[in-house]
Amino acid sequence: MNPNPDTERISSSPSQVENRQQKARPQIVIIEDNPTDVLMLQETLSASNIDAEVLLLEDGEQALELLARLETDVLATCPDLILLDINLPRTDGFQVLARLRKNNRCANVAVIVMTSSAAQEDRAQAMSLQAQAYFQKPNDYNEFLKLGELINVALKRK
Amino acid sequence: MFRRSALEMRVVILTPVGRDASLLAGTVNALSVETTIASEPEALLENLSEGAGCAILAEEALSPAVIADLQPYLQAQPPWSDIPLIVLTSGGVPTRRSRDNARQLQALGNVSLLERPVRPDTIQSAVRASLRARMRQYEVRSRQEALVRANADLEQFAHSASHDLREPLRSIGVYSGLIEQRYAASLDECGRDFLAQIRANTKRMAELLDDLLSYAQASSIPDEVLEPVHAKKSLEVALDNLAGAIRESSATVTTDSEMPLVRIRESHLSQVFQNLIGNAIKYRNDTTPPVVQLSATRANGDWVFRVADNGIGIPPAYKETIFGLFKRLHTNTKYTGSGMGLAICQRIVERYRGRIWVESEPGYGANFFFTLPG
Repeated sequence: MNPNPDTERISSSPSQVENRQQKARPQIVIIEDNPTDVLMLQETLSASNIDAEVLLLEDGEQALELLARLETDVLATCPDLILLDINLPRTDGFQVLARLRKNNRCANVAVIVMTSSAAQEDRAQAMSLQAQAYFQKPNDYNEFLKLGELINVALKRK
Repeated sequence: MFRRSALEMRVVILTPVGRDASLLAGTVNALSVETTIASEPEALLENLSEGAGCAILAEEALSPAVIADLQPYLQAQPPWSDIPLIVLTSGGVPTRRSRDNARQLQALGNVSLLERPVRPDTIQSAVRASLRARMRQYEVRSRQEALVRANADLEQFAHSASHDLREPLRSIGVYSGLIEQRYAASLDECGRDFLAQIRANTKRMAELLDDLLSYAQASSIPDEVLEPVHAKKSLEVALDNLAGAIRESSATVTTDSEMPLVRIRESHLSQVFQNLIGNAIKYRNDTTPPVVQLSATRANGDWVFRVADNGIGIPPAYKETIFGLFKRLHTNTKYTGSGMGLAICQRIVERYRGRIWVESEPGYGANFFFTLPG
C-alpha cells in the first residue's frame, strides 16, 4: 500500500471512480524527482486550498508506464492536470509530454511544465507541445506558491 | 597520428614533362621530406585536399583551365591555411606573355616563382622556407582549435554550473522560506535576521548564475550570415524587462533617432540594451531621476549605437577595466550587481565584430557606444 497518505494511486476500480465523482476531487499527477520541489508542490496545493487526489511519479519511465496504462485500460480516468518537471532521470519531461500528446485517450490533458531553466528554447518547446503553462521554479518560497494560481486556472478551464 | 602529420608535411609535385618530377622528388627527398607526384591536375587537387606542406608546380602544367580549377580550392581554404606553391617558370628573356603568365600565377595566392633552370639547392631552400611557413599555419590551426574547444568548454561549464548549482541553491531558498513560514514565531529577532540574510544571499547567488550563463552564451553565434533584425524590437524587449526598474526610479528612456536594421541575434541585442539601460538607471545620481537617450548613426557601413545617461559617470581611469569580468567600481551595499553586465555586452558586441566603449566624465553622465554590422 502507498505509505504516503498525501499521494494516492489513480485506480481504475469502478468503486473508486464513483467515489471520486461524489467528492469531485481533481486528479493531479505530479512528475517530479526533486524532493524539495515535491515538498513545495504539496505546500503550494495546501496554501491554495486545492484538495486534489495526487499521484506522484519520480521519473520519466514511470510517467510513460502511466501513459501506456491510460491508453489500454478503458476504466482508468485521465487526470485533470499533470505537473511535469523537465529535468527528469532517464526519460525527460519533453519526451513524456510528446508521448502524452499522442495518447489516444488522454492527449488533451492540461499540463503545466515546470523547470528551473530560463532558456527560451525550453519555453518554446513546452508551448509547441501545448503546455497549458510554463513555470520557472523560483528560489523563493513565496514566489513558488504563485504556482497555485496557475494550477487553479488549469483546473477551472477544464 | 604519424600518418596524418606525414601527409601534412609532404610536398606534392606536378611537372608533366619527362623526368622532371622524379628528379625534383629526389632533390626534395634529400631533405628527408616525403613527396607525392601528381600525374595530372585532378590528382593535384585531390592530394592537396588530403593534406600537403607545399606544392611544386611547373608553369606549363598550369593552363588557364587548371588555374580556374585551382582558384576555388585555394579560396575555400580555412582561415588558418594559405598553402605555399612553388612554380617553376620557363626561363629566358622576360616577354609580355611571360609577365602576363606570372601575374596570373600570382593570383593563386602564396606563390613563389623560380626560374628554370633551377639548381637543386635553390629548390631545397624554397621547400624548406615553404614548409617552415606551413608549420606556422598548423600552429595557428591548433591554437584556433584550442580556442574553439575552450569556448565550447566554457559554455558547457557555465551551462551545467548554472543548472546544477541552481538546484541546491533553490533548496536553500525554499527551506529558508519554509523555516520563516513555520518557525518564525519561535525565533528571536537575531534569528529572523539571519534567515533574511540567507534569503538575500540566495537571491544574489541566483543572479550571479543567470549572468554567468548569459556571459557564456554570448559566445555562441551561428556561423551563417544573419538576417537583419529590427533594433526597435530588441529595445522593446529590453524595456519590457526593465519596466520595474524604470517605474521605481521614474526614469525617462527616449530614442532620438530611428532604430535601424542590424545583423545580430535579437536576444543578444536585447541583452546589450538591457544591460546598458539597466546600468544607466542603476548608476543614477541622487538628485535627478535618470534620463536615458538612445540613438543610432551610420558610420563606415556599420551602425553606431549610443546610450547616454545623466548618472554619476565613470572616472576616466576605469574606462577600460569596467568591461572586465567581475569588475565593479562600487561596493555591493551602494549598487548591487554581479560585475558581469558590461563584460556580457562586450562579449556579444565583439562576437559580431563590433566595438564597445564609453565616454564619460564623473558627475556628467556616461555615453556608451557600440557598433554593429548593418
